Amino acid sequence: MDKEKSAELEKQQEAPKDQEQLALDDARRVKVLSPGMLVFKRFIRNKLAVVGIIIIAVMFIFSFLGPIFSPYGRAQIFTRNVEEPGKYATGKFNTEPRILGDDSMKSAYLKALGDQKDKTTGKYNLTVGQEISFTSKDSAYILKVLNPNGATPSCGIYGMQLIATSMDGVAVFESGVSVDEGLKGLITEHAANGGKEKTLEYKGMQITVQSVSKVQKKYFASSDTPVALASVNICTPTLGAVADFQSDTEFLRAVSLAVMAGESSVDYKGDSYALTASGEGTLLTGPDGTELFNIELENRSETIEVESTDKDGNPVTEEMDFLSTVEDADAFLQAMDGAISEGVDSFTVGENTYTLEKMDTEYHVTAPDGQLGVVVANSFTPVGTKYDALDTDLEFRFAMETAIGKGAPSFSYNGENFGLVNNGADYSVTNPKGEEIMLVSDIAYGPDYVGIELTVDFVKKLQEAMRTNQDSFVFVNQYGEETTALINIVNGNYYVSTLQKTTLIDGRAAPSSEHPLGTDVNGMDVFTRLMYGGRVSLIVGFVVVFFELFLGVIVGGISGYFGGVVDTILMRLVELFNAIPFYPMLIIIGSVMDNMHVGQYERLMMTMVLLGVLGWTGIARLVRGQILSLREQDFMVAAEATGIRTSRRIFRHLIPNVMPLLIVNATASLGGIILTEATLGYLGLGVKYPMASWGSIVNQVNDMQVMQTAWWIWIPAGLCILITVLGFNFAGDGLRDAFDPKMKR
Amino acid sequence: MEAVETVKKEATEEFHQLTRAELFQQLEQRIRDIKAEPPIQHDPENVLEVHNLLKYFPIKTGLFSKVTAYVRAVDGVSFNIKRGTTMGLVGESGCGKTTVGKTILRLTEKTAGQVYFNGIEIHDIPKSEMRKLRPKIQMIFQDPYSSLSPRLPIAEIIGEAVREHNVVPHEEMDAYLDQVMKQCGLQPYHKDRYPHEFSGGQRQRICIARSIALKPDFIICDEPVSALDVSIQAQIINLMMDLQKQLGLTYLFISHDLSVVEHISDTIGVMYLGNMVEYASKEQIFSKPLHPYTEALFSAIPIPDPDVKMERIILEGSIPSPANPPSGCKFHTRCKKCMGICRQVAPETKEVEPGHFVACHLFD
Repeated sequence: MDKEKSAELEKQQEAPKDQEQLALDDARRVKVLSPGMLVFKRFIRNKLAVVGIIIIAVMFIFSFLGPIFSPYGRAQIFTRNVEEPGKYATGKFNTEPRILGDDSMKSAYLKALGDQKDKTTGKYNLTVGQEISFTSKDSAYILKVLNPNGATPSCGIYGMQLIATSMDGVAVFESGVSVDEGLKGLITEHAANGGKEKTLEYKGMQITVQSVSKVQKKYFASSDTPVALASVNICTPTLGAVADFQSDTEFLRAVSLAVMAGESSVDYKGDSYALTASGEGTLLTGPDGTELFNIELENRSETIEVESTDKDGNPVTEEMDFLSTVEDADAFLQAMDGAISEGVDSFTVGENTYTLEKMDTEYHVTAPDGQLGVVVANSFTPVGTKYDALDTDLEFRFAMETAIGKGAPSFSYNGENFGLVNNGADYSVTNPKGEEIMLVSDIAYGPDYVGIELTVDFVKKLQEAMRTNQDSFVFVNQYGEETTALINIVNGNYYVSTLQKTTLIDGRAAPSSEHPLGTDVNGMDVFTRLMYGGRVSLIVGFVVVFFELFLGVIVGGISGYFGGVVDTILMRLVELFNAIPFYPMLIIIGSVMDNMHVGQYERLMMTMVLLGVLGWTGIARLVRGQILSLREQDFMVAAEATGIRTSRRIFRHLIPNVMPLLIVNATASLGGIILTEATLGYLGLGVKYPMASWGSIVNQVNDMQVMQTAWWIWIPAGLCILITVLGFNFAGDGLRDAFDPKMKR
Repeated sequence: MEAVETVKKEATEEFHQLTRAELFQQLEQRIRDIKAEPPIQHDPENVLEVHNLLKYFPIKTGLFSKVTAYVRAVDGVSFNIKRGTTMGLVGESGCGKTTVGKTILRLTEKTAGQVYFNGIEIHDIPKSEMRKLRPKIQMIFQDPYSSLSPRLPIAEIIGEAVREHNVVPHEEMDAYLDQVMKQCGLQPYHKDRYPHEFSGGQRQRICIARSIALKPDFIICDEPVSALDVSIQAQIINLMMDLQKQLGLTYLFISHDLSVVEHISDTIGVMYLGNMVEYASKEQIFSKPLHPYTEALFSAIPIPDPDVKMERIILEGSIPSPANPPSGCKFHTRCKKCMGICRQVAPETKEVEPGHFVACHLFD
């Protein structure tokens, strides 16, 4: 360039700015673009790359901002209330006699009864009062038919007394048993004759002979003492009122307050209940005169935990009775009772003021030092009536069964006259007042779960339904709710199920307005989980790439720049790391972490560190190769020739020229790392519940049913992985093309 | 057949062919001998004095990288360059011109010999001292495309080392860069641009600017124009000559383009396979080339006159490998005037006439 031209250019530069008329070939017409800008310009011209960047941006917004706006939590479990038939109770026509009392002879009894069965008709040929003797082990019994009707007869069982034993035809009489001479003779003769008959008659008395062995026989005499009752009938006491009141805490509180105040009656919901002193407690009688509860005034304190220090000064927790921590227990109780009955919430004993808080039937007392004690003020014992235990009373049952067998409308027991009402196949027993006290039926029933209390109404309805072959009925359950029961008969068992309200985890729910992508197997919102999963997946991708870059650039840079022995050693190290089997290693570490119960965040960290440690070698080789070639470039020689410091040569000349390659490589490998993480998650080795990653969401598809029926659980997560990896690949390709100086467009 | 055998036999009897090991021993001995030479007398007129410069690249073989042979890239080169003059160094590709340049700059370490810059043996001073000395000796590279870092703006490329060595005070930096760039035919608004935005000629100007910005005494120009087209070559050569006049620079101009060398040089050295075969002033060497290789080389200079018939001396074959060069005179395999002695004894460099050195048995 000669001086004239440069002078001309100078002139142009000095010219005022408003007259900037540049020559056509003026170099200033060319816009100055830094290499970075040039790359950017080339990059945004690439439509696929822009699509990739948009995908990445959308995924970032979705994953990092989405959860902020999501109404649901990461591991929020959704439930739904459903009414579905649930097992409630089972009923059965009882054919096998239940033995009330001593039941050691049950199998012998059943055999003896079975012997009376007509083989062809299957019916029993028995009459009321018929007596059959049978033996069981070392004892003999007589059964007396009380009621021959029904599927299986009801019998009373009487024990027999051993009076003699014969050995080789010689009868030896039991001592302490008075036997008259006539009977003695009969038995001695019978024994001497070899004793073929099974029974002997003597003055209307039945003697049962039991052959213990060929030479030994035992002689039993009948007695009038019933030992057991065998009946198919089940007795249900019908005392509903007590149970109803017991669950009414409002009522119980009113009663306990009245008792403490020493009142003689309680008004509750318009009814008046009488309180009468009986023994140590107070008897609560209903408006109709039924006895409901025996209330015992009792101050029972619960144990509390008292913290103190032992002699070494270490804190110890000791369990103590609250009352024992109070100085003057009697005065305390008196003051407390007074406070409870007056309805005030604090009381004073000596100098200490205690506060009182009602919690149902309990009272919580707070001491001045803040110590909390629980004092149960009253205890309620259901009294029921004197007819309560009658269903297991042998004498009563005898009387009842006899009456049933005779078809009598009433029977007397213990001096009282009980009515027997025949409701078809079932009976109900009434007390002298005419109140129904018991249901008698051969229908056995029982609740299916602990916690289900079968109400009298249910039993009645069930019996009626079973008799009339209904397949459903409505009854009032233990909570006073009308409930529909459905009957399902299987093998003679009547399974009763009711529509029960249950709270179910709302798993695999189909997409709806509430859950745009439905819920997953655990009942969590899939859309929200996707957002949180994206966070993990993207964070893992970026952290691992940065970790790989960090290690790779340092090792590769040192190796490439210094070369020689350093290079050899570092490259052998790289080969060593390359030789580590990737997936087996991850699987082993994953299961080790499972075993050690590593926390979810530690697990995430470990996964990232592991992926980084196993993945940096590629970048190290790349950087080494690039630096090896750059090192020989003229501009590096020129930099050395101009005497620039080594550090400056590395950081100003070398690194900036490696950067494009690194950026391209990192972007492209991001997709790969997200895929690896997803693979790990799918194999169950990545992040664990409740943390989510896209891979672990797809993991749920290992259930065949999920795969076939619940596409919304796994397809969106899979699509997220697919789209994001595509995005990163597009962007990586775009960057590579943009950085490639040969791609001039 | 018999005749051929006889000739072969005679040939083997005639001169003893050195084995590989013997050759290696001989080379080791040569390195020791040259290392033992006393330092040469420094003439203050000379910017650069090179005496018996040897650059052997070892060939390592085996598991333990034992040195078993040498590539004789530079095999005993001596020359002086006077202050403010230009020496042209010509020769075929691969004859060791660039290695001479790089060894002088201590970008590669010498094997033996002496290199004095302003009376300082640059291979004997510590590296930190060398770094301080570097601005004084600069280099311009052949390829203007790879010799500029693609990710730095021009101002940074030129100014980086200036700042590093505090050539000018920090405040004057901007003005100084403007001045240097103008000197080299660049405009100050080029400062923020990147190398990829420039043409080859402009890049070479940037390289020149980078060198002269450090106020050097001596610049090694390693084929600075061979990558440029002819019109640009002229611009660059003229720029360099202008700068030499303005700044009193000394050049070592390495090239294989004889017409360019003729234009710029004061003295010319001709290299063949690591050896300086002829060394004289421009006038002497162009008017009377003595060495057969120089003759052949100069006969290839095109004469821009269609009426003149060129008498070209065509050299047969290609340049032998410097790892296994021919015995005796290395040129004997291609020399038209080859004699028996040439095959066995390497010729000494002799001053045939004042300032005209030649290494050839023809002038014994």
